[in-house]
Amino acid sequence: MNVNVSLSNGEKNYIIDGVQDGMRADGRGHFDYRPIFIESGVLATTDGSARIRIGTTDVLVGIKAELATVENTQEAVNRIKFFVDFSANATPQFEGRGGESYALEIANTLYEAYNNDNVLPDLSKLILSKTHMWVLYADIVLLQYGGNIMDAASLGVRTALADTKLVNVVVRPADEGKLMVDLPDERKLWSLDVSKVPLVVEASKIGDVSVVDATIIEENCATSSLFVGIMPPECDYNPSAPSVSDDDCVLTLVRKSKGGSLELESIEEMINTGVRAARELNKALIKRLNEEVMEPYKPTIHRSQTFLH
Amino acid sequence: MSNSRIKGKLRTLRCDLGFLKRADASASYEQGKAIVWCSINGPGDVMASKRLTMKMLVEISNRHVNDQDTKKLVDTLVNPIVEHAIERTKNPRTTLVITLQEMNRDGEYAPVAINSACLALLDAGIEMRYIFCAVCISYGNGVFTVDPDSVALSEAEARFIFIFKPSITDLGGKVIGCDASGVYTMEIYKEALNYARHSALKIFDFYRVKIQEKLAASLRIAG
Repeated sequence: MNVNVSLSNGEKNYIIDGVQDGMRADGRGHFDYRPIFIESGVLATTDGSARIRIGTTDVLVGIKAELATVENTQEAVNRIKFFVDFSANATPQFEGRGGESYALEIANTLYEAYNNDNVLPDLSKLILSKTHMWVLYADIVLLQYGGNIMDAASLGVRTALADTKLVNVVVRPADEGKLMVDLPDERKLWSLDVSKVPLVVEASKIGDVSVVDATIIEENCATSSLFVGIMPPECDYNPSAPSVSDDDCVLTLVRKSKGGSLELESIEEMINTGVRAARELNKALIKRLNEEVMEPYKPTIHRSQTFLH
Repeated sequence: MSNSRIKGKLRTLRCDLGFLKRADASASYEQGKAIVWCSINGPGDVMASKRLTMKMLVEISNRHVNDQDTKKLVDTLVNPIVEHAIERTKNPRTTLVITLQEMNRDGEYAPVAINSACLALLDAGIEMRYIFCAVCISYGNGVFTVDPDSVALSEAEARFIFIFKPSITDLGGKVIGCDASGVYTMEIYKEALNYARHSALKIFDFYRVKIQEKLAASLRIAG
């Protein structure tokens, strides 16, 4: 997506030439991310939440589980529902309904990336009876636009899902042959297994090179970009599992964004860039979140700030 | 093609242009048993709140599409492809209303709807940037099926829809849109694209024949 930034041709050439020479304006290489801050458990009113900052991009994610009564849970669509809001705080261009089409693109992309039965195996646990199921809502609010919203949103959703705690409920018979959902005497909380949750990364094509984590200015100089969503291979979070090369990594999403045309070779190259970056990002995230788990669980708001490099 | 990796071919194409008397243009397009009607009205008046100063407003509605997967294809493939093919700067401050109605489903809705829309646009004589056509290829058990019907589609592991615009350099045309669903590798994708190109040629030939028929009729009336 493009936030309007006035750039002269000279400035655009400076950015593009720099990127092609392997030196971006802030000194980063093609695969380098800006400093990433992750906080989880930031919203008391949600079942799971996270706040992500990548450079100046600031994203807030809240996960809510609501009990739904449907005709037949076997026929209901059992997927996370994503809602994205680009607030006017992020940039004046998003005032009113200005940010709606960009927000819809993010929401649809995340939905596609999560739209299979492999990434969240615990979704089957959300079905409580023939007529009752938990429905997960993921709400994403963009607080500040600094480029690379997709990565931030996807990291945020993953962190918030890891933070989500659902209560164990029991299904009891009620009147007229129906069922009702009730709380057991002993309340227990359970979390979702998020080890296979997809990470979506945006690979932007600047000149003839593809980079990740583009700033607003770099986004304006990019001819096209690709969202690549990977399902992290088991070896990245379980060292004893057989190793998987980048070529054999499973993708859950490849989606072209922005105008511009891409040759098939470029698409393949951008996918490789995206996969490499997403795997590194995932490894760093897991390492950091594991360090967090060492702290004892507090029943009130669990605040912790982690610095991800 | 005596290639054991591919079976089936493009289903029989049929089309009636201008069959709706009250619409400015229309096409009843059939691909095998799948039928999609497309009607076009415009360029016409548009209310001030929706008016665009520099472009024509294109409103596309796909009627009675109820399943989630087809709705997604309509939003990401059908509507953007049809809208971008039209040269919208030629009729600013007007609106073009395109209505696609599925009369019978056999296989994927989206490619049939896209082809129907292109024929209707040709019938309308609206200035376009390029014409376009869509081809569906499915893959399962090591075999590719061209233009699968509902039965073949239900057995597929992966399904590809490619949209082409004519090109003198690329066989079949240049790819302007693509949607892939299911489990597949890059090699399978490239092979499916190759098979799709051959079908695209046939669809573009069909467009040519249909338009020649329509124009030949009007020339006969004139002379």
